[in-house]
Amino acid sequence: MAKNADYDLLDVNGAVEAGTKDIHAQVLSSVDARFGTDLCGQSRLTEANTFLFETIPECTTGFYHALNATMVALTMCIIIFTIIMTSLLIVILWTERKLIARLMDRRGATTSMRSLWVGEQGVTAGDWWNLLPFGMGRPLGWLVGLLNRVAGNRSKDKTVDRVDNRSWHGVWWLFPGLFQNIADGMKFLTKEHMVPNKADRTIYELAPFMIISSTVVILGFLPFGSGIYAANPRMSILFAFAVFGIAPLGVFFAGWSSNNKYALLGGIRSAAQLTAYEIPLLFTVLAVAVLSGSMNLIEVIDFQYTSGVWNFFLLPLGFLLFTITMVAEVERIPFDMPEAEAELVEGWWTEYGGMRWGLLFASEYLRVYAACILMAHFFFGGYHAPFANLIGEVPMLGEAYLAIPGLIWVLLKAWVFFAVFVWIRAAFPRIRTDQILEFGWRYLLPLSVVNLGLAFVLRIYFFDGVGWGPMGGLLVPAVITLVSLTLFVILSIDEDPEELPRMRHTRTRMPAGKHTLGDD
Amino acid sequence: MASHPHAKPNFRNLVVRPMWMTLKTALRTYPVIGRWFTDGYHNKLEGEMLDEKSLLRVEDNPYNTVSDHEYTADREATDLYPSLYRPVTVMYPYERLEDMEPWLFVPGEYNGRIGVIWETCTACKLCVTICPNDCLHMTTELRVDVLDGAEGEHAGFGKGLEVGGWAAVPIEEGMQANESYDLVTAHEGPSADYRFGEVIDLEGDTALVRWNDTGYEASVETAELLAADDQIVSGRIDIGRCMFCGLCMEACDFTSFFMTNEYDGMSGFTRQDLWYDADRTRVLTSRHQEAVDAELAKRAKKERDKRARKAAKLAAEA
Repeated sequence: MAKNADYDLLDVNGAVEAGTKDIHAQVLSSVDARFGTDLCGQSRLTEANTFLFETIPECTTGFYHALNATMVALTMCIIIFTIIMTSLLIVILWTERKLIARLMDRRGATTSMRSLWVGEQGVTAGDWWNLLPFGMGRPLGWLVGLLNRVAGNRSKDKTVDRVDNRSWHGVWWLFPGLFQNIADGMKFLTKEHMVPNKADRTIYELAPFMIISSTVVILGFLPFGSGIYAANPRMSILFAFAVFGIAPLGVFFAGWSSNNKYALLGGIRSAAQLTAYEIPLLFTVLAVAVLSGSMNLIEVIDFQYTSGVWNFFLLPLGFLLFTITMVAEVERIPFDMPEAEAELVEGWWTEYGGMRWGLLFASEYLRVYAACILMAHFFFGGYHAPFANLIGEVPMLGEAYLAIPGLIWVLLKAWVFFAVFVWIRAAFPRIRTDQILEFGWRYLLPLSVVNLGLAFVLRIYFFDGVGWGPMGGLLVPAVITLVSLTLFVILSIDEDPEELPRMRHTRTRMPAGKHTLGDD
Repeated sequence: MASHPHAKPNFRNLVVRPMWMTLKTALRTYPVIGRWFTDGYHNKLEGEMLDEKSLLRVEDNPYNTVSDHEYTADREATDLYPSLYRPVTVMYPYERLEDMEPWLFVPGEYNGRIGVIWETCTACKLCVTICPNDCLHMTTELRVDVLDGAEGEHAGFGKGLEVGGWAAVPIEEGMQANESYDLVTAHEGPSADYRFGEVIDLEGDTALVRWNDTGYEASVETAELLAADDQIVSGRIDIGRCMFCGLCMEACDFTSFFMTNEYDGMSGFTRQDLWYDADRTRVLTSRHQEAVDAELAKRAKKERDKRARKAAKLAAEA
């Protein structure tokens, strides 16, 4: 073991605690100076008061500790929320749009936000900045001119440039479309709040709050470093997934109270699907907890560090199950029957509009983001650097590598998993409700039980108290990984030679497509 | 039942292949990596245009005014928020969309207003015959013949002035006014550019001409006069009956008949306004100068041969 597990340069919790202690002292002294007495009514205008913490009388200690804890928790909540929302609004939603565009090769007007500023081919949206009084807009004009020169399109044919896929041109560092979400949010905020005439108004108003608030609460249990978390109860995994299970109730409330057949159908589908997939999900999480020997998220993460192996290499099946069930839980393609646009207008949130819709949308992505972060925590070492034990041994490089804050690793891992979610969305078609449910109950549930059994076996027979047995704890994960890889390859090249070798064009009888099989 | 091997619902076809295909698609969108996965359609750094015409249209040179317009209309809206409340309504017919957003041009294949190169028309009436709505009418017109107005190598092959024929004098004001005349957007015909009159008598360098507009007779220098002809082929088109099917264009064997891509200027306050005479269908010769030149050369050659034969005949008789 190269380093202690709780080693992290970014000890935000520690900093906040230290900071609030100082504030605490300031507040206390100002209170004392004002009233001349402390809260117990004793005169405290003595020289000893300069060291406030040593002189706090017994009767107020509890109060000040509670105050201190509240301030720390509040500050940490704000910090975590800021981290999540900033990276969600900017990185995640941007990834969703840009990556899906590339995966589906539909990169249409990707520069629509940019063109007003940067323009193309030296032409911008008119010199509107010159209309500002006192020449105030002139610097803006220079900026636009500069951007235009540096990042304007580069085809020799103007019209080609306009029609072509314009994300090829320009420069990456302007991140075209990055602030679209801010614009969307502004739009939502200016929209009217409407409730359908015959909706169950109380429930209708309550449902988004249930969904959004329960989603935000999950974030409190996600650590972004050994010292960056809002709350760390003993059973934080249990707590997080209990909270995770509230949102489906809100979804059903929303679907029922909208008094709309599409919303109701979406709500019913959502209820059925989420119930079906919550069970394998919880079994999988339980397997992770069994494997790591703890129901505490931070302990699960640190266990992967101290044992030297990511849980992914021990439970690849669990990772697969977790991914599938999470895709279903957050209602993304191919499991997005609750909001199937093709048949139910927008599913259970058809009737919502304005900022309530925007927040529901945001909370959906928050759930996806939480799922990605949990995936990183459960299976990929969380805030620890990849191969920390191996690279940490390298003389100079190791120190620098381990000095990278855990926050960066968590976010990077989560973003990669989100990219995988987007990839899945691009690759698979939406499947039928009965297929979803059949897949959930008949395949995922037994598989998750098998997975749980595997975890028990591994924990009981191969765990030696520190790591995973022989060969520095690498033999067992290596064997498991090899077996899984072999299975994957076999399944990937599975073609049935009994089937028709090749389709042919009806008239010419020429072979259709590029596919070749056997001696064709 | 036998089926395509990719139709079998196994792990390979349901999961691995879709993931691999989308990954390839995504990689193709990055030229550097995507080169290795290219299928000959993606990742071409040069845009592909369909034909030469379209390429010309988008060409980037100082003379190309087609695509050299502002990105959006450079108009003022409110002084306070010029960028936020930019007007987006195009005030047609005072403004035209393709003037402001030139990339939204009307494609050349669009069947718009009828245009005829009257100089190359042979009056075969194929277009009149095929028109299902009977909107085309062949007439004759009093005009200066192309050969009579020709300069350079084809000059002098015109019919020339003769007694009982027609003569014309250019009207400077009308010529100047027509220089700024835009056939594309005009709702009326162009100004008169020639003053016509009947040649009553020819005496040396002067001709006695009875002007058509005033009816007075006047003696004019023959050098000032151009020969004109009242049998020059012309036509009238009732654009109000036209359904823009383009059959006339397809019927024309002499590439004289066109459907332009112009949608403008075909309106009026009376039905009479929708009767277009030849002036309002005449395609700018500069756009089809080659065809006009070829026709001119053909006619000049015909005239030259005729004169040569006549001269040979006269020589033989002598």
